Amino acid sequence: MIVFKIQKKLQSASGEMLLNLDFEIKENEFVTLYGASGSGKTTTLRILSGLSEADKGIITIHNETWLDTDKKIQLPPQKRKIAYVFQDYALFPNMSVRENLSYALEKGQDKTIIEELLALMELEQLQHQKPAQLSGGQKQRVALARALVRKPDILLLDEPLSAVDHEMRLKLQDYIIQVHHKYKLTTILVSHDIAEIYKMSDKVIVLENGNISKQGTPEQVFSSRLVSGKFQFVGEILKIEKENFIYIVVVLIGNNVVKIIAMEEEIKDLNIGNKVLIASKAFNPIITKIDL
Amino acid sequence: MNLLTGEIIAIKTEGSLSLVKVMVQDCAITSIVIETPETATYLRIDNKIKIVFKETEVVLAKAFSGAISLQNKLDCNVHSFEKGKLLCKIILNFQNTKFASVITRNAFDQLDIKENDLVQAMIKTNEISLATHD
Amino acid sequence: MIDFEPIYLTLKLAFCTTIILLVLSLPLAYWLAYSKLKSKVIIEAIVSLPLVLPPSVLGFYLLLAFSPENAFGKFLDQYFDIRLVFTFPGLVIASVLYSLPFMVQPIQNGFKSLSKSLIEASLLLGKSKTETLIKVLIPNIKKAILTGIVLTFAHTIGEFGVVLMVGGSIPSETKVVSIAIYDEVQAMNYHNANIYAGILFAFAFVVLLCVYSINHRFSQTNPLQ
Repeated sequence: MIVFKIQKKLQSASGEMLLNLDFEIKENEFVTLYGASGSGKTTTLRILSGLSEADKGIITIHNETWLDTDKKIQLPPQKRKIAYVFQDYALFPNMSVRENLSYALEKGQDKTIIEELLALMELEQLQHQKPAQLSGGQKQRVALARALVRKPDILLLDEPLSAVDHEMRLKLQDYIIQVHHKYKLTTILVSHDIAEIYKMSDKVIVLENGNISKQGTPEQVFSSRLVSGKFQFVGEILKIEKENFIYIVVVLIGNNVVKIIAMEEEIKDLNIGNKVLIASKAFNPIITKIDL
Repeated sequence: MNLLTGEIIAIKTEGSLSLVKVMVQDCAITSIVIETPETATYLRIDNKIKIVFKETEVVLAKAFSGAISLQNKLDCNVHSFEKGKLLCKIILNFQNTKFASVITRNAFDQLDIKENDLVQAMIKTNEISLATHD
Repeated sequence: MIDFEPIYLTLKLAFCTTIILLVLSLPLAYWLAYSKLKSKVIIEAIVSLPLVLPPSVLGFYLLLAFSPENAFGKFLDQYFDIRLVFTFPGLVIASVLYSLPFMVQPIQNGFKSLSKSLIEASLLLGKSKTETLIKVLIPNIKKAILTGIVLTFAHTIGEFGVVLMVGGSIPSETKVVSIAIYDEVQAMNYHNANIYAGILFAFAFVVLLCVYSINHRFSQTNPLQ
């Protein structure tokens, strides 16, 4: 269980802002921090990992105190066993993929973890390459593997998927979900992508100007309206076609393109590129097996 | 998307399915959902709820007699309509609110729909979604 | 025939200065690149002073400081039996101070060009700052370090004013090539001056040529460095 009660004054584009957070995260939970840029998401991860200092507050992890400003306890980042995946990957350019992973080994640690992670992340073919030779998605896999070498309990992901293309993004999400379960991690992800949040997280914490404005399951946070829709997906509008008084909305869900009929009143607030929730009664879809 | 507001007056549950009866003014409308009062907090008698259904799922009948399996029958009169080559959209007055139906042009012509006509709008139980009142 | 002693002395001086500066500058540049102390601008200004001061000014103050007539020189003389004026060690110290910015600035810029997340990633992998410096930062600023080494080496070879002030022109002790050229010209030995000047010229050119071609290859095979 992570208990996080923190206050920190931040300088943002719109002036001074007080980051004032109080939340708890259960063991093995997958939590996403969601909010506009500048709302304090990255700072939250940095404070949790010890890279940034808080003005006031406490952090306890499984009843171990990492930070208590009143008692002047502040564990340095080295002692907080945390896997942190940076937005810019932060791979060491002078080291090969394998060397990047080996660097993370603790003194006397069993080296088999390196082979395990290289295999799990499908990096064996790339292990002797330098980071400069890798694609964005490959770099991200290396960064994730490297962060897990020390077998941490907590995984922090700072918008790790924002710089890769859509298909790679879906694949990386699967890798992350896989390691989250395999290593029984408690994972905190910073993300802007609602579809991604639906797919990955148990819980969403929405930050607004340094405060928690909402928290709950993705359904509770993003789609409180249509509660009985069991057949629902989040997608992105690609196209809106008008046919008389009927509109055909083309939506990308994952990597499938679907079409939805809508009326004029529904179209009013919709624009191309909008994220939308598509819901139907679970009674309507027809299910058939695909023979390969 | 059509939206009506009502209050839950009855819930019948079997397994993980529930048949929910919602009173919309003086008309009872039923919906079937894959939820039970145990799994969903909004399934409570007297709870205010919205019922949601697609225009294209609204069947229209005129001077209908005989038995039919459709449970939700709403007496309406025609407020206005828009005609296309294939489809027609009919705006209906239902008590003090409005909703729409989209049917084929053929059906529209057969029913000979005109403004202020009395029609029965019917919606299958499994086509009605519930949304929380906010 | 010319005397080769000044050439040997010049190379020895440049070599010693470069080694000492490299060892001093890595931690100093690291501190200047990453420290959040506001007072670091004072240190930055001091480090850069030799860039703007005439060499004779620096040489003059060093001469005063090293002189056994004054406190610092007297202290060294009395307690350590070290005399820095007109000696080779004195020359090395003067050169180190005079070439300081040529080593510190490229390395400091090298550190600054690295993403801060490299350090943070290393810390979060449980490594100390020293280990991070040696295994992550330094290998990734090789080009900057090489630039510092070359600039320092070349700058020390070409030094004249400070050397003249602090070292004078004592054969086999402080008479480096640049001083030798001056002496030969004073003595109207244009032939010898020409040879010394030619050697210095050719040497400087070859060194720079080597470095630029190495640097070039570096940046081609490894764009991140």
